[in-house]
Amino acid sequence: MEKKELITALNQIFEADSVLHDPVDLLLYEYDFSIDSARPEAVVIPRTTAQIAQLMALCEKEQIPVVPRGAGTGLSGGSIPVRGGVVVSMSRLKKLIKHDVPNRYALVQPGMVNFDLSAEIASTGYFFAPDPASQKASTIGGNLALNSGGPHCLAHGTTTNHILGTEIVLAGGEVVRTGSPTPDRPGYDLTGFIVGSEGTLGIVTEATVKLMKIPEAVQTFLALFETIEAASAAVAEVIGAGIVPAALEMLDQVMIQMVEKAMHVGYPPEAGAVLLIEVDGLSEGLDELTEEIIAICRRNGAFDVKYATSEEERVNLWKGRKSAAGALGQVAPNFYLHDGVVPRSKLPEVMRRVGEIGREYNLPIANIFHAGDGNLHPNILFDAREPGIMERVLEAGEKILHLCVEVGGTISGEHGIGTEKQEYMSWIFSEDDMETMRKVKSVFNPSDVVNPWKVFPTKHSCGEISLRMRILKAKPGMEEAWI
Amino acid sequence: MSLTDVDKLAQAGGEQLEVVAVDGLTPKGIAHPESNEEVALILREANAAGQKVAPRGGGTKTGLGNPIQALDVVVSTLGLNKILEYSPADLMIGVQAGVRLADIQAELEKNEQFLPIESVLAGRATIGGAIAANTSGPTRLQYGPARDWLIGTRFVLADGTQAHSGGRVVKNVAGFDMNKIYIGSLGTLGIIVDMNFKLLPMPKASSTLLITFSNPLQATEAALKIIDAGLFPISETVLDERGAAAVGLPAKSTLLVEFRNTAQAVERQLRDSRNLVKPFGGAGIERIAERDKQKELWTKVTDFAYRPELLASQSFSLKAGILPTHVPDFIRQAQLLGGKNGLQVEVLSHAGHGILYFTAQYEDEEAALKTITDFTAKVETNGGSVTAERLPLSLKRRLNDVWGNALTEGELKLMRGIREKLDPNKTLNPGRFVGKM
Repeated sequence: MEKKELITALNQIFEADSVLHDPVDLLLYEYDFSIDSARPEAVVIPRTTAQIAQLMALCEKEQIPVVPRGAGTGLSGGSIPVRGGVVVSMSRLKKLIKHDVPNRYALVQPGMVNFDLSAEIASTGYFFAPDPASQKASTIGGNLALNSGGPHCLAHGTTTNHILGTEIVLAGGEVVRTGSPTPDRPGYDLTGFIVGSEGTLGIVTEATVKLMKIPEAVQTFLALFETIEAASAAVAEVIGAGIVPAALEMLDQVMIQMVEKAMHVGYPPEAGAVLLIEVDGLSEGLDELTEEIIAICRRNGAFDVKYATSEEERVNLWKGRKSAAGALGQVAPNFYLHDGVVPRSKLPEVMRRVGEIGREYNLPIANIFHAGDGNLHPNILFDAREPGIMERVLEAGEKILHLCVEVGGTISGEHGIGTEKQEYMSWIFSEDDMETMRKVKSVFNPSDVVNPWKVFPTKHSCGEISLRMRILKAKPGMEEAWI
Repeated sequence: MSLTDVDKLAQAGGEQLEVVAVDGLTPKGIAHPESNEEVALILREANAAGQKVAPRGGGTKTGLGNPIQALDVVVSTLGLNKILEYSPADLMIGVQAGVRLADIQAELEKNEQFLPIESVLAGRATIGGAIAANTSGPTRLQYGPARDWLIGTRFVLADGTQAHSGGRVVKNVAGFDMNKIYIGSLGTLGIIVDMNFKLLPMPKASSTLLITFSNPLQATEAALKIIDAGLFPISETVLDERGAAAVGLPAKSTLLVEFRNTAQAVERQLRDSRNLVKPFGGAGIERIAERDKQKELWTKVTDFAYRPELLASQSFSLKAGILPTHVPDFIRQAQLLGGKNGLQVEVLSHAGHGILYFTAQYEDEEAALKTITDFTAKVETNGGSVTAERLPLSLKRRLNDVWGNALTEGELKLMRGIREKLDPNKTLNPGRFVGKM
């Protein structure tokens, strides 16, 4: 189908203000927060599920790629239309359709911003637990597609533990409801398979989400260490002692100094590493829990502990953590953020080796991550204009990722595979593993029209489509990214 | 013959094959693989020869599902009985499918840890079976179902292909989440051979409150109030009068609530709960603090639908998934329908999360059939689902689908598609799953 024909067909499904095809208008939709970009033929901004169904029928018939997009905050290229086609912006579908507090669930449209959902129901005393750092911009649909994490998933689980059902539009236009707010719906857990499928099975147009009671009390504190190794050992011991805090985050000195300079939120620039720790629950017992954790920290060399004594201080401490990416620009114009997971008992060893890799490649690495569940985010800082730097950055990053796999971890804890890590899937999955996953995917998306060439290695991974090649044309300026 | 004797026979190859029969069909043989490769070999050969296979763990859920269409070989997983890796420091365990759930808990207890997955007859049930049947118990209220704890699965497909999903770490989004579709798949997507799980530390203290009410409606309202007050109970179970008697309690509408936390927090939870239940007529409040007594009571609660007098008689057990606020209505519905059809029924509901069990002994199969179909229709009209989980073969054969009729054609189409991709010859448990696929 020619582009002109496509636009005509789209104008028959969508209102005039819902179809973009002028190159200037398409610019915004070429990017997300990965290092990738590609131009679609058109962008549509639907108002109804019916419109999406018609679009999917058209695209299946004409074999035009369709790529759903939430807020575009993804870090692995999930929203990038690498094969062109039509980007479907879900931004107009952002309503909280219904919330049922006694039965602890809500029906939401996928374009609703994560933070807004919890804000809108806050007066009921309940919230939506998954809290990725991007939550003030990222949408429920995006969180669902990537099975997003966040600091509080240590205690509460990741997004998939909070999605009870979906309404999904498949290639071809069929609309299917999966799951239920009632437990144990018979059959296979289609919802569980859809969550984390990175938008490659269909377009989710509604989500049934679990609501949790907001805990009555929370204590937030910062433990200061001289070295990353000491902080890592403390994390390993906390988990080993059978303590699962609500959140347990680590920042190293490079990160701390940048954050403090940019935001003045009370992070101590003299610390080699800090642990940002939060416990929540009934107020009885929280003091005991806090004391236990602090004792472990001190035993592992913590030289000071700062407590948030007010909600404002607590908000500031979290601001330092969640908005940290914005501060990175002070040290270098570019950063490449990684996302690997290791068993927590391996954290000290891995953090030491990450430091060694940074020195080996002469690249500063800033660490800010979910230490409590072993989910690392090493940030390689560089200036893309420096000749030959990209190869070093890529190699160092690959070494770090491979290290995660070596110690029994995995190549992505929350950012997803997308286009970024397709080629590394074979590090952890055999051909049989991937073929099995592909088989199930093909039930939903038989001709790969929906978000093609993502997640699995494609034969097109080499050559002009390869991520390495695309990175060599990397763009600077990711100040508003979230880690 | 006790159920444990069956396993010994099956393992020894003493081959009283009738005891591992499924839905009245006796297999020609029973296989005892001791490695993943042996499982793969057996399945590859059976699949190629057009033979039909039923996996078997502890045999506690052999009756679950629609009648199996054909059966040649039972594959026992009891030879896959090792704990492969236990890392207390990482709160992670890797186990083979044939390890009994109770044995896993015993091992974890040595490090004051536990796996938040429950099953009926946990002394017999294997972890592989628990996952394949998606079992859960009262503590699901706080800990969530099995899908919240399984982080890695290794399985063998019908054609002998070995594959895995997930891994050994608690956060993992690489690839698709196949773990989820294996949970509850009842062997129809392959034989699970080993799994990795997240674990939790054992809380320092626990107590159970036993409160009686005039009726299940009040008991449920009190239960939901305790949740809404932010007290985070671990379990909340409502029993009607006959249900309470069935677990050895006085025959009154009863609410059981369990709390686990630090000792100080538990005292607070108990104190607040006592006050909260009073406006709902909560009386006769009893606290059970001894661990063994609590374990005994909660085991009876967990085994409610499989209790000895049911297994020894002509009876059925239904499991309904409903909204917590509908629990009182459906307890009453169960009682009314039972009365209308001349059956004595017992009802238990984990009211906090909406699982309800409805059991009855019967003489008249027609009456049982009517009760089941009417109850199922009422639940489905209200957005829930009903599985006729345990019932005699002759009654099972008369049902359209033991898994009910809640699934839409859209869902069934996707499910059939998955089944066809992973087991195109329907080698594994043919006909047992939803829609008899």
